[in-house]
Amino acid sequence: MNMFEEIEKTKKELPKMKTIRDEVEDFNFNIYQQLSIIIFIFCIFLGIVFGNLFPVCGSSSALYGGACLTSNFNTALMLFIWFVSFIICLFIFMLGHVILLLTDIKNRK
Amino acid sequence: MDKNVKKRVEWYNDASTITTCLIGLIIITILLSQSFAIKNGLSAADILSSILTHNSIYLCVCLYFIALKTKFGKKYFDHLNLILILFYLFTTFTSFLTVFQSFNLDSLMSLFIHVFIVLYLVHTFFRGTRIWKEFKLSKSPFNEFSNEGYFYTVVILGVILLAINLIMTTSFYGTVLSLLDCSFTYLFARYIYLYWQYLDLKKIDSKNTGNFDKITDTVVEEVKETLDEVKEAMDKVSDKFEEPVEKLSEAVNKVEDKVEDFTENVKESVEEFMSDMGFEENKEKIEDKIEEVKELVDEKVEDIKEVIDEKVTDVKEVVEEKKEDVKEVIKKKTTTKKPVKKVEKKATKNYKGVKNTNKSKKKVTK
Repeated sequence: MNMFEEIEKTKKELPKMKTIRDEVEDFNFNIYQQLSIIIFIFCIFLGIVFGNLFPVCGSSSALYGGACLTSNFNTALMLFIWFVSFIICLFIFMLGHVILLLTDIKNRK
Repeated sequence: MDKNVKKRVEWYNDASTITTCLIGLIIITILLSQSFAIKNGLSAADILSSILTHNSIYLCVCLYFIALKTKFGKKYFDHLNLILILFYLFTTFTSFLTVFQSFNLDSLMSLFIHVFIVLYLVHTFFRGTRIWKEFKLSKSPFNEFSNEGYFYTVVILGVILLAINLIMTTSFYGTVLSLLDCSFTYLFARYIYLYWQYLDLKKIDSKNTGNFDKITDTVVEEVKETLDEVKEAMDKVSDKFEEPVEKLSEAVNKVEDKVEDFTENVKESVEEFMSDMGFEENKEKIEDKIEEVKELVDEKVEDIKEVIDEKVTDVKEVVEEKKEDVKEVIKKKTTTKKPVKKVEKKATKNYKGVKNTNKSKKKVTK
């Protein structure tokens, strides 16, 4: 109980949904940034599908001898796809951000 | 309470001990699984994939408990709980997909355990937070389960899964890892159980909306019951002491009568004293004098009033006379007009010699 009492004294509350929504609504995304977000969401689902399509043997079977009796969801492949898609989408997002900055500079002139 | 006297708490009832044991157990599990994988001649890629596939949940929980030991983790406790629940939700989803890949008792039991742990986590760690109020989790049907219900369900499912894994495994490594996995499940469930117990001690009910109305109602009811009991006890006590109370009241009445008699005697003696000293006669004389003075004062006041009234009437008459004079002057000035001299117009003759009678002549301009 002492650990929980210490946590209770110092813990911070979760933010409100309204504040998160207001902060997100303030952002104005470029076409490239919007495209990167859409691609990332698509890649999330793609990773889940690939993880299911290419299963992996269960830990109790192939790793420690014996034939592959059970198959598990391929979490590693899914995380790999997510990581790669994140890097690519981040690159596209930053490209869109640079274009946004350049257009702002041009409009101010 | 003395600081020196420490309350003895069992290791399974102490949250910090449980978290330390969990961190140690997870590290041992990961190291052993990887050492077994290396011993079996697996490649680096396979080892990495096995870590991510089979031990991802251990890694996440290990990072969670290590963060709880730090100030940052304690400050963002609710945020860490949210991340943990999301991760367990994801693991539940993957175990659900695993059921479709290989439908057996092992995958089914692992799915049930994950589902129960997710429900247990949601109904424990979100209590008292904003998410509980915003998503109205107090109306969830899973609130009917008690803390013990959730815990012992997870324990029973863990026992069944352990039995299945022990039957399925064909090597020493599988047995060791199955036992470690089962221990992890029990300790994690025990950690959640202790937090729910802590919240009960803090009186945050799972069914209310995060406020203390129910607690105040129960407190009020309990206070009423105790008051009724006290009243009954007082009635019993008062019955016993009825006679002495009556005697006391009689004595008090006697004292009051005596006090009244005493005050009357005092009044009479004072009146006698005053009459002896002749205060009443002098009092009458003083009153007569006061009346005479009052009459004199009234007469004087009336005389002064009369004089003032006369003066005022004189002034008014003078003012009115002045007003009339001014009015007359104004009238005279406005009504008197200068006599207008009548100019008799001579009759003019036209070129024919005929008299014109006040006809307007048109001037011919050249």
